[in-house]
Amino acid sequence: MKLNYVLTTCPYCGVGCNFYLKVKDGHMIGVAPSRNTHIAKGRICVKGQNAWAIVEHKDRIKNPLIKKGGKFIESSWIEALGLVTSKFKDIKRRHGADSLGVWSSARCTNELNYLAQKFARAVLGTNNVDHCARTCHSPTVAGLIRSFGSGAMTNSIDEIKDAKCIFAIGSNATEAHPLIGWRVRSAKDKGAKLIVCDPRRIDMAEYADIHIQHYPGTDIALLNCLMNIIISESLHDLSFIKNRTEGFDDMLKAVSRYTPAYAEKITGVPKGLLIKAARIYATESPASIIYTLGITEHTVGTENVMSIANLAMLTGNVGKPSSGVNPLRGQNNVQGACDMAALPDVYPGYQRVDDPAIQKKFEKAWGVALSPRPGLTVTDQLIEARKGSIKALYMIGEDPLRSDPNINHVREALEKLEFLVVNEIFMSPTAEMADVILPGASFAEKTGTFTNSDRRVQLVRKAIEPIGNSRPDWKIVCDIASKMGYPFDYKDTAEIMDELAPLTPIYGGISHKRIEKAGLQWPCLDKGHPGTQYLHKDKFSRGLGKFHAIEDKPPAEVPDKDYPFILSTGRMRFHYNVGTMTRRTNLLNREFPRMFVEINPLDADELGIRKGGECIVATRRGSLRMRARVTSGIKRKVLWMSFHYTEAPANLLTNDAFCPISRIGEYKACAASVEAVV
Amino acid sequence: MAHERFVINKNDIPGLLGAIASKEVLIAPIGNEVGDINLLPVSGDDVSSVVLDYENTINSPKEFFHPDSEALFRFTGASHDDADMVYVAEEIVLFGVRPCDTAALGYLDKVFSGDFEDELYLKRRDKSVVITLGCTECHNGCFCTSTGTGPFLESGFDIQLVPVATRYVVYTGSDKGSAFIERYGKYFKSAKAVDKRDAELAVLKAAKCPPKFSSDKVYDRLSSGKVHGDLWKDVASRCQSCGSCLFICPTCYCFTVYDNERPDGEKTRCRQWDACYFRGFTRMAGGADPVGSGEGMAKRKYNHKLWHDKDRFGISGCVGCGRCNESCVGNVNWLENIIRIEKS
Repeated sequence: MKLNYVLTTCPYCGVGCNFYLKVKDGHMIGVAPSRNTHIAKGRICVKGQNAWAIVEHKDRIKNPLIKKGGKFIESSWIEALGLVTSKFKDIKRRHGADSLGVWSSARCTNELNYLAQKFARAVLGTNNVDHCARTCHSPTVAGLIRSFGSGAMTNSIDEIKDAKCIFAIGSNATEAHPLIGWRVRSAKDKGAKLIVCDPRRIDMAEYADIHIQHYPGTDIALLNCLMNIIISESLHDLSFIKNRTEGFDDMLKAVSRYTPAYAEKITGVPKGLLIKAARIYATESPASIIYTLGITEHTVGTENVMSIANLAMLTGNVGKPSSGVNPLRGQNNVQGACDMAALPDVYPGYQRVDDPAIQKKFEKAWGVALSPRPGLTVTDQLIEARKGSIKALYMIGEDPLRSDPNINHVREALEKLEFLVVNEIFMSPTAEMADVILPGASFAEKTGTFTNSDRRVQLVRKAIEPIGNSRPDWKIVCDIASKMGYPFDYKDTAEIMDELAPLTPIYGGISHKRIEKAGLQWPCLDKGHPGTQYLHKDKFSRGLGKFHAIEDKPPAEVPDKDYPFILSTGRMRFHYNVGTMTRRTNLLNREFPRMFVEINPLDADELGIRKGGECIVATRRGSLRMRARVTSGIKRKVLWMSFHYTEAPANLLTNDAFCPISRIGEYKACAASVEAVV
Repeated sequence: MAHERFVINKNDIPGLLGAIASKEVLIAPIGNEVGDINLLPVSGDDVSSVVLDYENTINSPKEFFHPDSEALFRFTGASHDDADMVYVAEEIVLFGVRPCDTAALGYLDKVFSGDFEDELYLKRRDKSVVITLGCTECHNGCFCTSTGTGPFLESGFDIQLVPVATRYVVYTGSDKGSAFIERYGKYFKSAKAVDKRDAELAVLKAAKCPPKFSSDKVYDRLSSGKVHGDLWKDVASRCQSCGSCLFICPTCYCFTVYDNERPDGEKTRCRQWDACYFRGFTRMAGGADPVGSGEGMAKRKYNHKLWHDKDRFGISGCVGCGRCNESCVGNVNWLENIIRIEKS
């Protein structure tokens, strides 16, 4: 009997649980928990429990595919790579390097992300490299860098259970980050106070001390009001503000008009509840703020994040254990993909491309001249593709035709491209539009590292050989780069880490060897550095923490006569993002096999929508038919749906209006109508 | 059959394990680089990574007889009639299984040999020798003295080891166990009176671990239907329907059957572990769910293991290993809840 337990890191959310893949006679049979690893502690959520099931799924793409006469034909790697490299070279020659773009992936390893951005910058010659963090936590990176100097979760996941107060806003941790939901539950079981701000009565709201059910898109009014109350009741931490921060007076002026009565009008939350919440947050120390995409996916995403930073600094809840500002990252390696600079304006470790000294450092390391011009975000690459100035895209493990807002707009952009290459493990709506599909290996078929939400770099270990003729994505990038005349010669991913660590100060001390037993949290500056459990102790990364004066702004689209509802979107525990993997997993898909929209019973009654009945939800961008889940858990005049279903893609409806700073789309609030199907 | 008694020195265990591993499939508790201990196949070279001073392994022996997922038969032609059985039942020796887990196998034997005899499971059990390692210390997380499944077994084992100072006193409990001792006779000596006495003392001492509840009382409370509804509400509000407590359970046996096609083209009918904490477990076409609510799901598990199993098999469906308490993301504590039921 050949049975191996291969310790690895989960490929789903950003919590980064370790578990064992059970491999019997070369095939995946299941998953087992690990008790002595830092995040999992013997637990696995339902998606992790089922993560093995898609690896050997019949739908896996097994050979390179080239589109000929509108149909995909299986090809050899030689032919596919030959076509890809000759097209890239030709387009670069005709239109310049900036007519090309690379979409790297938060689903892939650090090593792949490092190579993808190096490929864009050193081989193609453009900074047009970005990834899907743009559509989830780009406001976190932009906002927290402005406030604190570092765009990551300030504290560690395991500290959450020891907080005395947890303030969760726009975060449905039990659904999206179950092992963080567990820590919230543990804190509560130990007597912590829990404040949940969410337009829906989510699971955490059920056992929270306070549930603030504000309208989508009114977070700034809410947060400014809480600060207004804290200051007017003198509950703020004067010595922290004086010694550790700047800009307090500007912020003070901005929040002064957000009285509880004023905020009640905007948020729809009774003022008494706001006062109670402000007092609890300010007095129960340490207090930990957790937030997710309910904060970021707005046209004011970056301002939302900075408002949260304001609140934490106001009460001195930064730089100590179990406190802080804790964005929960959604994808297994979205932190790492950002760290590795799959971003258009920085080199690995958030070193700016327009800083001449940094440019020189990377020119020396990579041996080529590099562009000092920041590149385009994925949002802007689509806009430019539609205009015709982006000619070719190389997408690795991304499906914007399902994941980006207003997918009609995405389709128009992709149709305009001269050449689209997609690395994928399964056929997806985006891959269907490609000229060439290169089959990648899944997380179970390669070795590398993922960096989780609390900045912990952990090993992903190969459990079985790549399926069919698929290849690990890092190898595919090496093949393309080398064929284009810039040899990427790496014998394994450990060697890639050894190249990037000295160039990336926050990863300076990290190597595969050092993280065999346990991950390391960056900053980890040198080989002797133990890693960093929490950030901003004694001093912020930017020196002084900066308060920002922020005014509330309504979403780009607000309800009106034709579209009287606010539509918000999100995720469920049994599915993951666009469902490429979870919809193919028996036990997961069985739980929620069909799309639904949540609507308040009073609204449903008025519209004649029955429990479980069919209805049509429409926005200015399109309409979808689905079943109604009538629940008092959702506020009146608000609709909510998930975006997991290809047959009813919620992002057909969402608004691609975006945050001007971070360029994220407004997934969480747009105007919609709903009517019963009779 | 009368128990025969032998003795083996602890120093001779590596030699014995090496000898087993060279001839048969040996499965034993293996420690790894992060300190996790799992029951896994051991090659002759890995005998040094076998650990025998553990509370319990993370996994239970269940998966060696009823794996997480497995192919039942392979479709070989165009018709559904063209199918080959593909399962494998190898001879295996499981060494160092805790009494609660051996008792769990005894429970599964009853399940899989009921009205329908599960050929896969039973063949694997026939070909296995399970060597049980009794517990000499009380542990916080487990509660075999409450479920009658330890710290030492009176029956239901092939071989049971009783740790006594520098040696193990070895009891055989089945023909398979006796045959095993014969196969590896050179490692075992007949027990002397002093060995027997020491072993009996060790067993008596371990049995003093106080029970945490009375399973008879729990049975009475559940079967009377008078447990306060708040308990089920609490479990339902905490349960995230992840299935972890059920997959890790050494006695949970539910599975679902599906047809599978692998990327290499192999088409099989498979089964995989399923769990009654999933809504899809009982939901019917059209959406009706006879269990109805989270509270109903919670109650079903307690009733099944602590009441119905006693009626059906005469034994508890819980063997007191405590694994489920260590696996819950909602902090549902099975043991504490059983105590709440007892006191309700």
